[in-house]
Amino acid sequence: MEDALIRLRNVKKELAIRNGGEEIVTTILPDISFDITRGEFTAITGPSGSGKTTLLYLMGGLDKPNSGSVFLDNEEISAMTEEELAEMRNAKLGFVYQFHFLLPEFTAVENVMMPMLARGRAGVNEARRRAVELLSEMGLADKLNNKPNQLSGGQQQRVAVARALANHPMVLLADEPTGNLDSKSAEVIYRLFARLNEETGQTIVVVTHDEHFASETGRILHILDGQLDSDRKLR
Amino acid sequence: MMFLKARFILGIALRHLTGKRRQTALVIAGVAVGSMVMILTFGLAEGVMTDIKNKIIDISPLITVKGEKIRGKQRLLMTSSPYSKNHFEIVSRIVPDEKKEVKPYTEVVSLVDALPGIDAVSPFVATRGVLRYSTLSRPCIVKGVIPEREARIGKLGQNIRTGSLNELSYTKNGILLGIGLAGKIGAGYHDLVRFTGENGKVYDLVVAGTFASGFGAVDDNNAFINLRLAQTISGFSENVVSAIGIHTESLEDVNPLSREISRLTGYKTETWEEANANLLSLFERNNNITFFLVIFVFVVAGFGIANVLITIVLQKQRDIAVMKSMGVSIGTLELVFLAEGMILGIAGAVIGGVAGHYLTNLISALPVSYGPSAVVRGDHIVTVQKPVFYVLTTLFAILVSAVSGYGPARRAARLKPVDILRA
Repeated sequence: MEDALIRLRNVKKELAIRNGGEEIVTTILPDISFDITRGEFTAITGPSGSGKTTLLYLMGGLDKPNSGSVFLDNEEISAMTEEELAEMRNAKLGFVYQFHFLLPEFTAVENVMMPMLARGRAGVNEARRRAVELLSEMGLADKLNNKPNQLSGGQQQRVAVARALANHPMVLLADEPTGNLDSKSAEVIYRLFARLNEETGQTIVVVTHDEHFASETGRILHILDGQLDSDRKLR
Repeated sequence: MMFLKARFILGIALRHLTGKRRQTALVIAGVAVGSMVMILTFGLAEGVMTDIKNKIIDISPLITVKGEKIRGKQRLLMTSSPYSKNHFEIVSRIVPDEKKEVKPYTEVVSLVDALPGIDAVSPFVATRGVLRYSTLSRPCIVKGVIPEREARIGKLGQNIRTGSLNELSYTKNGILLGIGLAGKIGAGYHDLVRFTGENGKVYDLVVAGTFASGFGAVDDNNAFINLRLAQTISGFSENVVSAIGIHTESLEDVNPLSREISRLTGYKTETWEEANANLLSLFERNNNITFFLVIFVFVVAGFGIANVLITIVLQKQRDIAVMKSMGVSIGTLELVFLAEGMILGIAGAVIGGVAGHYLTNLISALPVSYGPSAVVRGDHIVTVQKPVFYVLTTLFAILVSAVSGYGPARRAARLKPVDILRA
């Protein structure tokens, strides 16, 4: 319990879709609770529409539950204001999405610097030093000043991972990080995640429906219709 | 910390704008046109005012001592009522239509002459009559002056086209005609014209010259004769004039000197601004209307700014969502888009300011001809440029860009990341 970095307690999430005049309310997550321990590498799997991405956004403070609580590092993030959430995300979380979502006007190194500069966490020189270091670890030392459109899909996603790690996040949240990559590039990303988890104890939660990727992680939470279908510890 | 944040904000803002070069350039051009037109309008409006004021100063006294005594409060008379013994009525004193005159004028002239800051003093008699040459005749205003003294009021000496003021002074029955007036009756230099005065008597006068003041109404209707002759026509004795024109050394002294002279002499005085209040206020109103129109040019430019920012916000929704997810605050994002608006506004104002400067210079260098009915005549458009015009234009451009940028900035900052990332 003490080691639970993320705690979800009776989380309920509904989504209201406005269709013409009437509002259709769909329950995505009826009632879900689980913990994620510090240092864990967890995969959330499930068919599309099962609510796994919503779960990830709730853990990342990008969305709020209709009821229930989400705790990160013993703080109830589901009760925070927008501004507190922004500060929390910047300090404690790193996001990787299905698409790289790099800012197209900025070079690789500038994209990685951005989370450090966004709230003045680091000076420009310090941010640049860390960004170069991270990109070098990702094997992109020769692509520092390339714009995103001058990089391959796999390279773009590695820059996105570097960006997510910029502020030494407590948790790395990834939403289908290999969903848009060829198998070879996807393999590189798996390795990267596994290595991060093994070498630095980085807590990682990854949403995926790639069975192979999921099998490489330490724990698989399978979601079905918004409910926890199975929770398997692999290691 | 502040510097870092500013650098971060400006960095993103500039990248967004340079990513949309063509649209950015067009919007800056829009603001530039607004700024340019505003600079030009300031220049022209101030130019017209300056031109008119200069021409007024050129032809008319800065202060006129009028032939009206200052009176104390009007005395009220109480009379018994014809209707009832217990009532009385208050009747304000009825003032007889007095002849307007300054008498003895030499005393007033020497009094004023002795004051510091006085440049020239010219007593005159203004009268009306009909001027005739061969078969053409025309009503006119004739000012009897001492030519040497009148020459020092304004620029009458420089405005002479034919003949001279000197010739007027030694020609007892000479007349100096406004160029328009001379043209209308067809009289030229040394022609003999016939003047019928207010008293009904007829005088034969020699045209001692013509003048062009630049004011259509003056050149078409006015003429100068010698003071003594005008006194005779008006039935004034030798020590009486209808008014005295005064020129001060500096324009700043006009108002205090006007009050001082009035106090000393007991006669009413009028400054050139008071005498021309109608004309000046007309142009002022005209200028105000023009400014309103120019402001609309800016409003249109503001729509351009809003438009490009809305486009950027729409296109950058995903980037905005990503920035928010990495913890960029609402305030910072708002500032990013406000900064984009400001950059557009300031760049436009700078370019428009430079363009406006050259356009104003170009317009004032163009030769123009005014029709004969123009209120003010000249051979070019007078423009004036002052630093304050540029400051005002820039401030206005900043204001417009801030207002136009506010909506899109607010919208961008309040986007919900999930709504965009999920899609």
